[in-house]
Amino acid sequence: MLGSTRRSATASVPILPTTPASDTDIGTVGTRAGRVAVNGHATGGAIVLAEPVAPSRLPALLPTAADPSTTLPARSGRPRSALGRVTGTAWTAGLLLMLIVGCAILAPLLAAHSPYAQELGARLSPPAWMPGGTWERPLGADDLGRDVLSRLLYGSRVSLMVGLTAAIIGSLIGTFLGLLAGYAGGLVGDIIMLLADAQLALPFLVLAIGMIAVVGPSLGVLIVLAGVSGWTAYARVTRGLVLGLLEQEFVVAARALGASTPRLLLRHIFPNLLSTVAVLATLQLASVILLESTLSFLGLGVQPPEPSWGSMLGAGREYLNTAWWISVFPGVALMTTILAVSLGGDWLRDVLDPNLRHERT
Amino acid sequence: MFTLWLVVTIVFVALRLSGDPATLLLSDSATAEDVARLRETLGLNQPLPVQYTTFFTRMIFEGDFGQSILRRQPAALVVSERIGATLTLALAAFAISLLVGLPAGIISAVRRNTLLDRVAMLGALLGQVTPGFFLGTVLVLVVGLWLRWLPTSGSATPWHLILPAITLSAYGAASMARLSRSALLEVTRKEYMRTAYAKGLHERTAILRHALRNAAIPIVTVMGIQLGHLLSGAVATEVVFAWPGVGRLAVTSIFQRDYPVVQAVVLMVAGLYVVLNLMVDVLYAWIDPKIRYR
Repeated sequence: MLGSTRRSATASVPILPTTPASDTDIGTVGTRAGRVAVNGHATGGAIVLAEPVAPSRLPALLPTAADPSTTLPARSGRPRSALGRVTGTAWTAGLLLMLIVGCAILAPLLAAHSPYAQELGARLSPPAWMPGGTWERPLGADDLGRDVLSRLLYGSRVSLMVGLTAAIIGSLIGTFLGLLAGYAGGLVGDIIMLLADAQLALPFLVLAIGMIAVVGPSLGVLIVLAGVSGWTAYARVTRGLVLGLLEQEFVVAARALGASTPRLLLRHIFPNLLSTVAVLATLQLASVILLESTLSFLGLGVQPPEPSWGSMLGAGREYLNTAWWISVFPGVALMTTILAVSLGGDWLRDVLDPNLRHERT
Repeated sequence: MFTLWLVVTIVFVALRLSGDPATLLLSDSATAEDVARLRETLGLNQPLPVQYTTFFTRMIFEGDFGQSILRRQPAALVVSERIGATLTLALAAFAISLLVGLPAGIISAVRRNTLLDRVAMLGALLGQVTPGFFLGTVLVLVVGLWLRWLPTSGSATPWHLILPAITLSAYGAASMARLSRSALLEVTRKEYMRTAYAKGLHERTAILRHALRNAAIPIVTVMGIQLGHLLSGAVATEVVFAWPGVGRLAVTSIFQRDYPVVQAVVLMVAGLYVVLNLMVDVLYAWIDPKIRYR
């Protein structure tokens, strides 16, 4: 998954982007500075300052009142060029994503049938355009006479929910451990990085299967496993960024002013990690959705009768010869979702954090 | 080595956390005496550290992963009978992804922005986002059931290998093509390439002799990463094509509650993976003299 893991034997500081504070990062700080400055104006400014001063310079005059990080030159009104770089692919990805999310949210309104309702009369009935199909079930019905389209619509909820929750879990664990590893360093950092390397050096699906064998398959297990699968990426990147940020003037200044460790981490370092973590989370979303669907396909993830694209595909395989639509449509949905998410992630990375280019193959 | 130790430990902890293996192994009708006797034979009545040490030494030094419950054979034996099939499949898939992905990437890079490049890269993108089990299912449907060209289930003849190998290789071939293309494009901008052209080298010679060599490191990296995908992806592929490998063994064993076999698969595949990784690292040092391991 990660391009540079293999080199970890040579370089124990593996994928540290050499310019830790990218344009975006400084921009973020700048924006924060601008905001704090305005606050300063509102509270203390009215008394001390008779003549108008550019808001961005206020903190320098009021060092005690303002956040030390604001001594960075504020780049107020940084042009957000993000939208200017929207390409054709990005549009496609965005439209597809909107479609999929829309389906997930509006599933109860869009689905003509309950995803669980069985109707033996409609058993294995083909899609509407095939002989014997009706528009009542546009994509046909499965072996229990359940409407494939309705199950697809509800299945998008499972995929997205598992994906999002797992991506959030992974990013929380990973970012926290990465922060810890970068900030504390020493033995703690080494242990965390060793764990990350060890996990990366294993085929995760096989481990996941081992885990499920022990604790049994369920939605909760699935989410936790999918979440844990991705923490290493966040940890490695976060650690690299933190190591770089700790050298930055604004952090050194904050430290010199006696900022406590939690304050330093939360107010000064964490905000600078956000865009990177967001990009990583999007990129991870695709692989998490893939992991969920693979496990569900194997019967080890989402359990029937709950509709999930992976399990629908798996269950439909028995009827492949007579009713291909049960398997094929969930697969198409899955493929489209993964395509949209990874294209979106690639685009977001290019816009927000080009440094991450090497983080993914 | 640390990785292996970690896996063994995780498996041990997970097994103990999941409750009493003795009750898990026995049927519901087992009496308390039965449970006690099984606990005795499994060594579960000993203190945890002792259990851990025996668990560990047995596994590493004696290759003893316990008995398969269903087959009444050592789990290690059951798994090693199947691991050959998985390796054959993985190796075939690896060869395909190399033979398809690398040329596709090189041609795309050399003929960049032509129709050929566009088509190849679109194909690579699709290959990367298609889940293996879906591709496999579609191949079974189209090639196996509709066209009836190739067998889709089992491993009786070499023909049986084709579809599973293609399925498993798709992701690898796709990422290989994309990566070798971008690695080559990166290299072509370098000064030594200009020198190579300037001294009148033919394009083919320049690319094969100078560019590819220098693009090799990222490509080998991806090859190494693919090993993981191959072993992970093999699970679903084996299930789709009823290929008698360890992945399918693990999945069926879960449903048959044959835990020692699952455990043996996990540990042996992890071990295999670590060894393969080591080989990739050695390959690195061989390709790029600048890399030296401490």
